[in-house]
Amino acid sequence: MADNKHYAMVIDTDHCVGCQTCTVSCKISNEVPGTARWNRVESLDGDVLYQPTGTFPAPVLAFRPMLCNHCEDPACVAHCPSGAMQKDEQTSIVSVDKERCIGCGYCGWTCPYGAPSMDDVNHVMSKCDFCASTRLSRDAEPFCVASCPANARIFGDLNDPESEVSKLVQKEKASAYQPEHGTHPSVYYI
Amino acid sequence: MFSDLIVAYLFLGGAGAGCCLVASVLALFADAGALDAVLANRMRSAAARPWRRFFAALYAVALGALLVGAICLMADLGRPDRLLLVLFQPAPTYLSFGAWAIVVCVAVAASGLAIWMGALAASRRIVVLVSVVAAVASAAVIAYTGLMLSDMPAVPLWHTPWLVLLFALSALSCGIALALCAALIAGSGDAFASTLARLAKADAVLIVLEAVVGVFCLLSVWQAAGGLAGPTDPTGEAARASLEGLLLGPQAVLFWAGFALVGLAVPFAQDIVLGRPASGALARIGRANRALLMLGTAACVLFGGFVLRALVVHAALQPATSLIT
Repeated sequence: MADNKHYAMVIDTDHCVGCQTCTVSCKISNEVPGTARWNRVESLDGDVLYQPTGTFPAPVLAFRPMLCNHCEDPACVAHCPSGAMQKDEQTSIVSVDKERCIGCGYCGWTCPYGAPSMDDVNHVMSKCDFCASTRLSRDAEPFCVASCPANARIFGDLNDPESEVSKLVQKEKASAYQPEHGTHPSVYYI
Repeated sequence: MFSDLIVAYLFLGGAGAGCCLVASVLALFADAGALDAVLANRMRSAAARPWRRFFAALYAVALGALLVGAICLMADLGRPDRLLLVLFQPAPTYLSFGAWAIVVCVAVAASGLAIWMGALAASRRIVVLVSVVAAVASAAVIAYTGLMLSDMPAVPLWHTPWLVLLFALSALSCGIALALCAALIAGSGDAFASTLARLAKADAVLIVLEAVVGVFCLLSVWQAAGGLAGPTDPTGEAARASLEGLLLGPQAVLFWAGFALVGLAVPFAQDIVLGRPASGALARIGRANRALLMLGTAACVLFGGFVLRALVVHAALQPATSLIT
């Protein structure tokens, strides 16, 4: 138990420039099939991406990159009828077992972040797994973190008090998005 | 992500289970002595014929609706070939529970149909047993869709216990409508005239309850949208957008004209007329016209039931709807 990790991500919206490199990097490097998307950028406080909010002379153009929040109490896992959605207790990563998924799409609706995305090639749900098999297994950071030109994403182990993510979360600089749903996300925003 | 196949499934599953519940409850309330006489000799007596025709029609329609609904559900799945995983290695979710409820409901509806067609010899005790199991399974199917949707905090339009009640009342009303259609088309309108009149009365009560619960459902969503103060978080924004879409936006015509008027007000008025067999107005319209009025009422109820489910599915929004693909 002591070796269990709690992988988490902090995203600094002050740094994010909305360039979508993370979106493209995730899609291409993970070979995300069909129209599925595991990563996306949305407007931080408006409805339309790339449309500033606020009024002159202080308009704001800010972004919120979105991905699976790898929640501690994931709604997708609780509601998956076939047990395909699983949370790995050793890493805290939420992933979908594509061999068990029946493609009902229930997880996509029940997730407050709409993170699970239908893989319309294989007709199963798909989602971000923090690049567990492609990057973390080689001690490398997820593609979206490594590719971010603005260094807006910080990835690490929350169980390690010396990690940068731990320090940012402990100092209460970073907070979860939509905590009211009670799923206890592992993705935090500054 | 929830497609029109799911709308069809929610409607057919609810209406089919409602009709199955109506058939089983009517069988349970049948006079014991009369039922014994009807069941004797595999229901081959002349006295048994109207009973066979009536109950077989109800169970056949219920079974058909349940089966077509289940096919719609399976067709909507990305991998329907893995459906057995849900049945035999289920995770404890409403959907897994519902899948089994549908299987049991289909099986008992088929048993009821076989018994009332005379294909299976059955004693009164077996008929009572099948009716009880059918009633319980039907109630489970009726309840679970609403429970499944209301269990999603991420969709504020659905996340209210009033939706469970609304779907249940609508399923019962649609079940009665299907039963009325089945009985009339099977030619049981005269033999079971008083039963059908009582069903029409019950439907009128259900429609009033449905309207009241519908209002509470909308108020609950309005509360989730922050009430008078307005939304304070993305979930509240989604609730407000759903509510505005339903009442004032793209779905408003379907909501007011389709659901409220054609689905509730019109059949309620017709049910009131149909529930009074001795009234002068009804005596004047004649037997054939009375049957047509009953079919028209049933059609309105069924249309309203379908529209309700289409609205509930299509007006649903999540705080992060843009992510859904």
